[in-house]
Amino acid sequence: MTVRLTLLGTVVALAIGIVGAPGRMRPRSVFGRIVTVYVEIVRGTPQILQLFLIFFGLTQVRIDLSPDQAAFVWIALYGGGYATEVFRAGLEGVDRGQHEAADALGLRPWRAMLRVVIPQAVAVVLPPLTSFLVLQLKASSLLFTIGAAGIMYEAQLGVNTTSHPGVLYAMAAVAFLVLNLPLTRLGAYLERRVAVYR
Amino acid sequence: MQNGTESVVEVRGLGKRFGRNRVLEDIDLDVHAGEVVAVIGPSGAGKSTFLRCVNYLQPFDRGRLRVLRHELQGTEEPGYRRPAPATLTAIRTRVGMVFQTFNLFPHLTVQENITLGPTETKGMPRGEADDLALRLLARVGLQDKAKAYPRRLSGGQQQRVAICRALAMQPEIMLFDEPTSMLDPELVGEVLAVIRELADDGMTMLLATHEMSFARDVADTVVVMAERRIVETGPAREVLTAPRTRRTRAFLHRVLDHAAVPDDEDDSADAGEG
Repeated sequence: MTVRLTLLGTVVALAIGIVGAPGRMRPRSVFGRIVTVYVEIVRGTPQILQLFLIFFGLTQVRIDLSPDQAAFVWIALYGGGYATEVFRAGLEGVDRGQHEAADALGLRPWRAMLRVVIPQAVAVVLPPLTSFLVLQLKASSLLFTIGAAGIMYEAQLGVNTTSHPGVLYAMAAVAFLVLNLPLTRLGAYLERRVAVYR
Repeated sequence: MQNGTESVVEVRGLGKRFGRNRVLEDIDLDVHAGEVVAVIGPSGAGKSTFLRCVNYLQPFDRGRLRVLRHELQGTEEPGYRRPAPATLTAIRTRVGMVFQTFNLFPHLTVQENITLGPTETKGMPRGEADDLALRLLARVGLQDKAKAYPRRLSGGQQQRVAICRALAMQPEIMLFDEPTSMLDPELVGEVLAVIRELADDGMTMLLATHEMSFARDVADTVVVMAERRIVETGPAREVLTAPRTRRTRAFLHRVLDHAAVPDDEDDSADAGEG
């Protein structure tokens, strides 16, 4: 359950990041300002608070979400804030001269993005992206606080019924590790593949 | 070398600022077809910025510019209208640019670097673009590097590829922004040779450079820029061996102390000042 939710939410988060990053490149535009406020809030407030606001707080404006729904929304929004920054760093990490060279050849702005900037941004973006995914997985450990199913939920359940916190939490930790290790390995592999782009 | 009286580039009163910082002031210039114009001057004079205004990589706020019949105005001028994308594309396909830092696309092979422009902007078919790329590379002696990635090449080789990339668009004017400033000294010659050949073939060029002997030998006209303005213009030999303004003399003195440019000037015998 943890995995599926996190995965779906993260996909949405990445989509938010891709849309939001260009906004951060033009911070004074209308869209840019909206994105900046969004990112500041996500990064400036505690995760647990964000989660509670979505699950408990929204009931005050009559939006009642189930634990799973709230969990999904939070994973997406929280991840979206970070993903935006990761993609922004990627775009900015591409040398300015590349934009100039593409422009000088007559490439229209979005073709320049597609053929020149983004392929290079991918290489810049991969290391922080893998960290980001690991972070998302760890963030999901908070979901049990609102009753959403997940590794921590099961662990907590086990602790409440059997009073063996050490073993159960240790098993939870192992479970997270097992999920994270392939991620980091995949990340390292992808980074090697795109090394030619730098 | 100068045929026809209409200039291909006409600059009148061009000015530019970044925020409150003025970087170009009152620039006037005419460039004729086939003319080679060397732009010299101390760093920070505005040479690079000026070059980037000519192909509108940088917009400017004052004055006006005509490039090959395309008119562009300063953003603060009363008649200002945003240039249409089609105009910008037209200018950029007819005016090629070579950068100080080469700016080759690292994720593409040498050949792909060269074919990107024609295939994307001119809709040239892939096969034709590949042929063109290989021909251009052969002209500069780099045909065996076609499938290599830029980072495997020396600076001089990269810059020659960059020249091919610009030439692939079959431009009528070439802009060179200090093309050899970032090169190790022993690699400078091979790049200058390519530029010289282009000049001999009749290409219209604006060349910002610190290579004074090259400017003296290859350029028709020299424009001296200092502190945002043009301080002197004239035939290359004249300006470089017998400059009329004090500013130019001061600059050349500092520069030529390092270079072995034989000249027949004797400072003490100068008459008049600029």
